[in-house]
Amino acid sequence: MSEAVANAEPEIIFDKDGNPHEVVDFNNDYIGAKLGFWLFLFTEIMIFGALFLVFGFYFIQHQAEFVESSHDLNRLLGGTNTFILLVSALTMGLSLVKLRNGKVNAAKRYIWITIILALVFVTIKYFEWSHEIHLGIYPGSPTLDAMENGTKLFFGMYFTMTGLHGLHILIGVGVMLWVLSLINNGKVNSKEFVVLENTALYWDLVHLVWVFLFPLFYLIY
Amino acid sequence: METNNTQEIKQSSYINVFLLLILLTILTLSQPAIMHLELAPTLFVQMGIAFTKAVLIIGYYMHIKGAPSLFKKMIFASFILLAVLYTLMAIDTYHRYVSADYFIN
Repeated sequence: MSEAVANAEPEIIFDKDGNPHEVVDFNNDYIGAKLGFWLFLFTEIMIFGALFLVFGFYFIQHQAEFVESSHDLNRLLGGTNTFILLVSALTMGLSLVKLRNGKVNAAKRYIWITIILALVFVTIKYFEWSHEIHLGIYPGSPTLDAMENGTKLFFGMYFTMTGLHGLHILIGVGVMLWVLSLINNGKVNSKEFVVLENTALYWDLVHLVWVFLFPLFYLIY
Repeated sequence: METNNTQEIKQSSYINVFLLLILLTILTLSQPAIMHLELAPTLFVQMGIAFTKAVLIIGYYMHIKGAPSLFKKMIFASFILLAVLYTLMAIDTYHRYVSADYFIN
């Protein structure tokens, strides 16, 4: 804060009943920060919503091929990833609870657990994709091109949607590392925690997308 | 300055919702084994469970349950927007879509 600002007289405004209120720094607007972040989340919902719409559109046209292709996905790995994301959403939430209660080290520990779980999720996804690519199934591959139109569309949607979701997981890891550095600098603390709260909101959205993505791809039989 | 206007969040509510979500996930995974359904009812049951999970996540993990009404209205509005988008698309598809025309060169 500059000296001029620090020495300035506080600006006072009055409400309808004549009660005085000090005008505070507009850069520290908790509701505004959350509202802005929710607007960002809506753009994310529109992106994934449109993809789910496309999925539904093709699914109606090619039901038999979609059901058959769903059988080829590894339900055990997909199910494991579902539980991993579920636990990571909990640890992310608990980190916020701990930070707000002033338990900074516990909060940092929970964020690290979330990061590790996110990396395990991506690693499992890597093995899943590797298996499919090894079988020659990836967008544009000669093997997939020789298959039915519905199969091409199913795997096209599968790689696009799980890929975009995986990208969000990796971005989430980056954001969590950034939040950890902010906590270490003292910029995010038990009094000012909206950055961590918004990160938790982002992580919940990533979890939310998977809640719909998993049954649609892995369990339609 | 301190962060104002915040809701109280409890560890116990996180744990309780987590247990509910675990139960619903087990239900999601075991549905094919416990209920042998046709495709349409399977989708209905699976999306029903997913929707229930979504309500729990948005309500409790994302703290919308005790949030100011502005947040609730925004979420409701976005839900309506998606519903309109999906309905328009469905009507359009139903009335003039020619099967698999995107593969015709």
